[in-house]
Amino acid sequence: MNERRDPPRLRDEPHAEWPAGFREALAGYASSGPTAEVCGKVVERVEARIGSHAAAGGSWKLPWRAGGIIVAVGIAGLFAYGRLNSRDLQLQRRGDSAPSASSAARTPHVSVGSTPPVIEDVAEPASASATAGAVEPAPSATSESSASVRATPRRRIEPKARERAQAVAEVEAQTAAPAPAAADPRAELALLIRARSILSSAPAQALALVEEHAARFPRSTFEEEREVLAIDAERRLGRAQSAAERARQFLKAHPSSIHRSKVEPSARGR
Amino acid sequence: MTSSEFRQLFAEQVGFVWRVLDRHGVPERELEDGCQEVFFVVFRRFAEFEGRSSLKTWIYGIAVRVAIGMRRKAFRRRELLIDAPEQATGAEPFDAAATNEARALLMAALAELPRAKREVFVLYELEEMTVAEVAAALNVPENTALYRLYGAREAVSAFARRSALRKTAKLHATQRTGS
Repeated sequence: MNERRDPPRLRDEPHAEWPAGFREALAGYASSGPTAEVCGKVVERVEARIGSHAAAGGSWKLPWRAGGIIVAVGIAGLFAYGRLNSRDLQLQRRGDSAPSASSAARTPHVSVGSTPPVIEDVAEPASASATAGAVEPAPSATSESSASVRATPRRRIEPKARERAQAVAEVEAQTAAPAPAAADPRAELALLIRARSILSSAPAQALALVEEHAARFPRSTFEEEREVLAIDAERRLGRAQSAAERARQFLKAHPSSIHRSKVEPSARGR
Repeated sequence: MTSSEFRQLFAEQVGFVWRVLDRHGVPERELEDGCQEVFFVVFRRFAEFEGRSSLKTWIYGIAVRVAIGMRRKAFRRRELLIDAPEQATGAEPFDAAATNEARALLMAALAELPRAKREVFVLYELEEMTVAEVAAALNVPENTALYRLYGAREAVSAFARRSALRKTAKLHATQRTGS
């Protein structure tokens, strides 16, 4: 993937004679799609199918909880790299409808999606029987189940137990007692969203915002997304070497990251 | 693939999948089913994804195949598809949602493009794929993708400029008749 050949996108080179709003229409196209409600419905249906697939000998290896799926998907969607802006609206809506006290309850869901190392360890050594016992396709839409998502597998699987318990405890500590700076996830998100939105037009400012984020929220749930943004910004600024170094460190620290394919080209110095 | 990874992947790609299905002629009422099918295939075949293409390119291929399958099935049921494949990639699917004029204009500009150019334009300009990803997704050489892209960009930009001119001219005309 050689992105250096790629021409700048049309919306970054707007024509003076375009009608008002045309550039925004170009930029906004990728934010159209299903509503959060539809997303929740679809993901539940897929999960149910996966659940029965796993019960029939498929490869799904995790305790399957559907608690707060819509919230989890919505928030993870916020960090859908490249679609940050549109999802911000959804969070805003949720924020409006939910009292601010519930933000602490929402936080664990965010971490479910963004702490793959914990889950990864759980999944790997699961034997067939442990798997069958762990599959629970029945969705229960409580927001309390997230703590047990982590607690349950700890008892089920023997190897790496201590290591995992440590990681679990760490995550739980993070989510149970969020640092004061991270009390409002929306502030965290807003900063990264702003960084993302100016990434192609002003990578230097985007990088500055990312650094500001790192300083303000050192233990952010969105560390991975932040680093991916930083790597992209550095690459766009022509600092290939620094970007490659960061990318390699990222891959080392998060070998199973969902952003792996995005970061790999940078690690190879492209 | 673990459940958290799956959820994250779903959240990241659901909008993209939805738009691909939409552009490839899946009727609106079947988009949910289409999405479900795509992500089930993604889950089942994730182990086969070897990173030879980007994840997005891989998912694009799955979504296009699902869309083709759904159209075929609808045909067998003798259903009249509102969005026939040829026009479906154009303005219709989004018209209802296009509340603002500029968006409608963009859709009209896309509808004017030949299909091959349109898909390159959408994937590169609007979905933010790289040229390499677009080429892999459409199974064409990168130079071909670039060539189509430049053609499409010029056409879309010109369409937008013409429309702005027409609007200005109309405005002048109304002012003249009004005075």
